[in-house]
Amino acid sequence: MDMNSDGLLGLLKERMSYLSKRQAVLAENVANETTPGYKPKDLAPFSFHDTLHQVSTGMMVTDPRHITPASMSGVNASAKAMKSFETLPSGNAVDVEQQMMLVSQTTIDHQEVASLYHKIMGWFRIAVKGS
Amino acid sequence: MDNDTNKIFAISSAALQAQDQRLKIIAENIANANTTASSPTGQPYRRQVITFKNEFDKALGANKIKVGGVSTDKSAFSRKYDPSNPAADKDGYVQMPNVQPLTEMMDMHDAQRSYEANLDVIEAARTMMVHTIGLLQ
Repeated sequence: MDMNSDGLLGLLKERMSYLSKRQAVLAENVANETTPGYKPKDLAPFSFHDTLHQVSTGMMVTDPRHITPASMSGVNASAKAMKSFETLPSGNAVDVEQQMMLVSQTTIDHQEVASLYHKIMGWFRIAVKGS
Repeated sequence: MDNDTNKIFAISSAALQAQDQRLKIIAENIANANTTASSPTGQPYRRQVITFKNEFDKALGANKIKVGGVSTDKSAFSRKYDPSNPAADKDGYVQMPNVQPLTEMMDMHDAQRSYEANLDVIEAARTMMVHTIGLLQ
């Protein structure tokens, strides 16, 4: 296990920035609840497998002149239109209840990742202190 | 992380401001529900309607909500028989504002609910930030 940003910690980092990004997209949806013609958006689901693959076998930068690898697919995902329950006559399709559920889900997921990160840091501490 | 959280704060606070403006217009309508003209030739208070639009904030990279404008409700005024009123016409009728208190109340609840939803999003973003900062411990 190393402390570089690849591997396990890299994966958690990618997951965390994905969740932050998703929360921003959901905030946009809730904010535009009254805007006529607004369609809600969401990010593509986070792919654990793809991200792990990219984090552990991605391009390495060993020299400043190297091309830096593009950011990981999970985080790079752009917001796409999401399915909604109903569309109002004004053309607005935001369902606040659905959005709020997704917001709290994202918060819980974020807390989970933060706890995992904390746990792994505890392991490092054990490795360093030897107890 | 930081960038996205700041984005959430900016988006949601813009929405709070928009709902605030909406509530202000509703308050104006309810307050003036009985405002008649002072002479038979004058017009009573005309109901105001607020519209929203979404605007892409280039610096932020997100769609923020903005007040599109405040226009007036074109519907007809109602008439009430009140011969003693200075605004009464020769038949004794007074033109009353086209404000429906029930509609305004429903609109008010909708604005309130939207305001709460945006506050909850800010709270959720704050919780996420606190958890991230908690990693330092």
